[in-house]
Amino acid sequence: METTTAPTETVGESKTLVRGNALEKTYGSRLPLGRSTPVLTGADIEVRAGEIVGIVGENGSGKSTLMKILVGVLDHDVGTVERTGTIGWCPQEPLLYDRLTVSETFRLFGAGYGMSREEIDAAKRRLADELDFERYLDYRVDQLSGGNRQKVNLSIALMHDPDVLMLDEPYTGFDWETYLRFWDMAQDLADDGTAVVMISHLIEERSRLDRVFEVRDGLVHDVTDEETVSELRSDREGDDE
Amino acid sequence: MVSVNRTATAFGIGLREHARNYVLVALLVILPVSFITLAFAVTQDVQMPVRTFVDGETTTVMRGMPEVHGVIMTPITSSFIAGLAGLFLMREARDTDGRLAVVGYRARQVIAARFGVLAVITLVVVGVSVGVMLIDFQPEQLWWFVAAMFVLSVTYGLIGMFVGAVFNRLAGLWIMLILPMIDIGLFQDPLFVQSEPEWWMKLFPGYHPVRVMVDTGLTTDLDTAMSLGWGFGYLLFVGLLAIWVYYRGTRAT
Repeated sequence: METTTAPTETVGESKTLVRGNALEKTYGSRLPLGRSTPVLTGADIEVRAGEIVGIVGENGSGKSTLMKILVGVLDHDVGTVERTGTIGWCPQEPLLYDRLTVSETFRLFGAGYGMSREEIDAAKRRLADELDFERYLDYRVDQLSGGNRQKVNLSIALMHDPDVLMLDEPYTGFDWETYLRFWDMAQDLADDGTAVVMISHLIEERSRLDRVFEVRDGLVHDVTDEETVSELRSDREGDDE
Repeated sequence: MVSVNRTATAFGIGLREHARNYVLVALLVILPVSFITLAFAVTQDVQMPVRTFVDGETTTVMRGMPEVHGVIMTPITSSFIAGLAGLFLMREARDTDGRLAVVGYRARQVIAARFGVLAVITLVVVGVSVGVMLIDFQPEQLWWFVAAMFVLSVTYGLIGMFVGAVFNRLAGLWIMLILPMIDIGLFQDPLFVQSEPEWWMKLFPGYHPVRVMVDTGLTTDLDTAMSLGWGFGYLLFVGLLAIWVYYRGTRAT
C-alpha cells in the first residue's frame, strides 16, 4: 500500500489532482473461517482540476470503498494513491457528532483544516446562507432533520474551499430547491478549478458530469461516452413495459 | 490569522459533548447514591476479619463491615461509570473520529483530546464517588486512597475503550457491568477472599489498587506504596493497548 502527496503531472490544460493506480481491496472476516470479499481488483482512476466526475455502479460494486481509499480514510491492500492539494470529503452517512451544535461542528472541523476563528465563522455564515440552514446553527446535530443534517455534512466538506471535493451521494434527503442549489455550487466550484468527484445513482445527472466512471467487477471503466450496465438494464426494463 | 489549536479545540468540544450525554450524567447522580449510600445503610455493623498488608506481611485485622463495604463499593462505582464512559467514547469515536483525520487532525492530537476527556470524566466520577462515601466513612489516609481509586478508575476507563473497539454497545455494556463487579467486588474483596488471592485473580486490574485502598482506608500506615506503582504500570499497559485499538478502530471507517 502506498500513498503520496507528491505533485502529479498536467494532462492537456488540466492538472491531475488525484490518481489511483492498480488499487486492490478485499474485506476480510474477523473470524478464521469467515468469508473474505474482494471489492477492488486493480482499479485505476485519475481526476483532474476543474472537472465534475461521476462514479456510478451497482449496489456493492465498490464505489464508496474506492472513494474512501482515494480520500485516505480506508487503507488499500495493493496499488498507489497520489493526491495533490486539499481534500473535502462528504461521506454517504453524515459522520457528525450528534451532541454538538452545528456551530460547534464547524469549529471542530475548521480547526482540523487549520482555519482561523474568523475564517471558520465566515465559512459557516456563507454555507448556512447558501444551503439555507442559518436558523439551525445553535441546534444540536441530533435535533436536525435528515436533510439539514446532510447539508451540514456537505458544508463540512466544503468549508475550507478544497482543491478536490469527494462526495458520496451528497444530496440524499435534499428538497428540490436545495438539490438545484447544490448543483449550482458544484458547477461554480468546478469553474474555479476544484475537482468534484461524486458517487451518483441518478442517470438524469449525466448531462452535468464531465466524465463518468463505472465501478464494475472490481475495476474502474471510463463510460463517459457509453451507457453503463445499470442504464442498459434500466433501458431494457423500460422497453419491456 | 492564527489557526485554532486542534488538540485544545477537540478536547474542549469533546468535554461539552460528553457533558450532554444524559445517560452518563444520570449514572453519575444515581449510581454513587444507590451503590455507596445504600451499601452503608443496609450493612450490619459487626466486626469482620479483613486481610491487609502490614509491615511487608499479609495479616488480618478486625474492622466494621460497613467500613469494608465502603472501601469496596466506592471503587466499584467509579470503575463502573468510568468504564462506561470509555466504552461510549470509543463507540462514538469509531464512527466519526476517522473524519477528523481526513480534515487534518493528527492521530496524536485526537488521541490526546479523547484521553484528556476520559481523564476529566474520571476525575469527576472519582470526586463524586469519594464525596458520597465521605458522608458515611472517612478513610484513614484519604489522599492515598483517592490516588489508588483514580488509578483504578482510569484503568477501567481505558478497558472500556478497548471493549468498545472490540465489541458492540450491548455486549460492551454487559462486560463493563460484570467486570468491575467480579474483579473488585469478588476477587479483591477481603471479606470474600480471606487469604492471599489466587495468581489469576492478581491479573485483574483491581488487584494492586484495591490492596492500596484496603490498606489506606482501614489502617493508619502506608504499606502498599509499591502496589500503587504496579497499579500505575498496569494503567500504562492498558493505555498503550487502548491507543493501539483506538488508532486501528478509527482507521476502519
